[in-house]
Amino acid sequence: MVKDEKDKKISLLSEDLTALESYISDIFTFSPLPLCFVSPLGVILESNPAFEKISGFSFDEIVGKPVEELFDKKEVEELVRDTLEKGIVEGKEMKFLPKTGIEMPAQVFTKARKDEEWNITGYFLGLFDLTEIKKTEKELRKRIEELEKFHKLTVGRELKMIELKKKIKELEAKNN
Amino acid sequence: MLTKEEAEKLIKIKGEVRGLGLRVDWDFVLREKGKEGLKKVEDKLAESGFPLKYKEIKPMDFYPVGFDVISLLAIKEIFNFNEKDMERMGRLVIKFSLFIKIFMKYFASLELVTKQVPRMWREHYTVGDLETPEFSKEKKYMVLRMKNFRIHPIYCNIHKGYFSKVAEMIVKAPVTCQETKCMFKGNLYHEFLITW
Repeated sequence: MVKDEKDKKISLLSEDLTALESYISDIFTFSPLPLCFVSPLGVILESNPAFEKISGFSFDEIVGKPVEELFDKKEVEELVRDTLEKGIVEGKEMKFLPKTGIEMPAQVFTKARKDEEWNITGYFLGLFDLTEIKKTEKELRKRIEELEKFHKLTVGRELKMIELKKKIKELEAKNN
Repeated sequence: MLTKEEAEKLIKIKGEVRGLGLRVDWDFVLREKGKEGLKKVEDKLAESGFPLKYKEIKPMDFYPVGFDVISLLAIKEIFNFNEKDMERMGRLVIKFSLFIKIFMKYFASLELVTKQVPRMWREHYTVGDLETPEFSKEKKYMVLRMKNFRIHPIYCNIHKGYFSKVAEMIVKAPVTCQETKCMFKGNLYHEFLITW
């Protein structure tokens, strides 16, 4: 009887664990934000499909890869240091290096995971692709420069006109 | 070819495997061969006298280890997988493994992982024992010894792939894994040499 009760409890817990695992896996897979989990040694242990897509690496290629290979060396050293010290990094702008070799501007977020004794067991890393934003930013800057040039030209012309009108008035006054 | 008679012999092998062990293989089939591929596996199992549907697998429950062998043989036969394909499957099933996620907290150093190896094995199988009699960070190698696991040679390449991928996750470098001793080749245990 006692054994039956124990078996039932184990079975219930096991079902709960399965449901939880499925829920976590679904969120991780669904997330449009590229995510991965990095060990304290700096090795990528897990990645979601969005991360595989943005990096251009397959699951087999990305898992086991040192995280330093995906970012600028100096920047990633800073990121890892800050993550391990502060436990969190929010929106650090970095150069991401996907398989294509074409550098990609990205905003990086990290969050450390800790065990029961508060030892860091790794960290989650999320990316936000800034390519389009940077492109729009560049275009906007170009437009502003053009507008400034135009402004200088038109305002300059206006000032000259005012000056000429002033001179005409002075000459007219002299003649009169 | 996997026959009903062979399946009946295999199912009698002593030992059990976690449902998760079965499901990760089927997850691999689903990812690589789609729903049609998975259906072929389910049909083959039904044909061999041991029907099971993907959705019926309970990851934390225990199933006869022979059932796992039947499932692996069915996958190998249906998709005409060779040794390399089975090894690749072993590498890729890591993606779907809940136990790997649970044990990730030990992936901070080689020493920590090696201490957990026997426990990791026991989470998967009720038979066999896995240990790391030798490893050296300096000399860049690790030996994995698997005792009391004379189940079926189909596991050799699967485990080769699985161990090499797990090792890559710890040593931060591409690894080479060789099965240097095999119980099906007259040795007392299986042994894998991992170098990087």
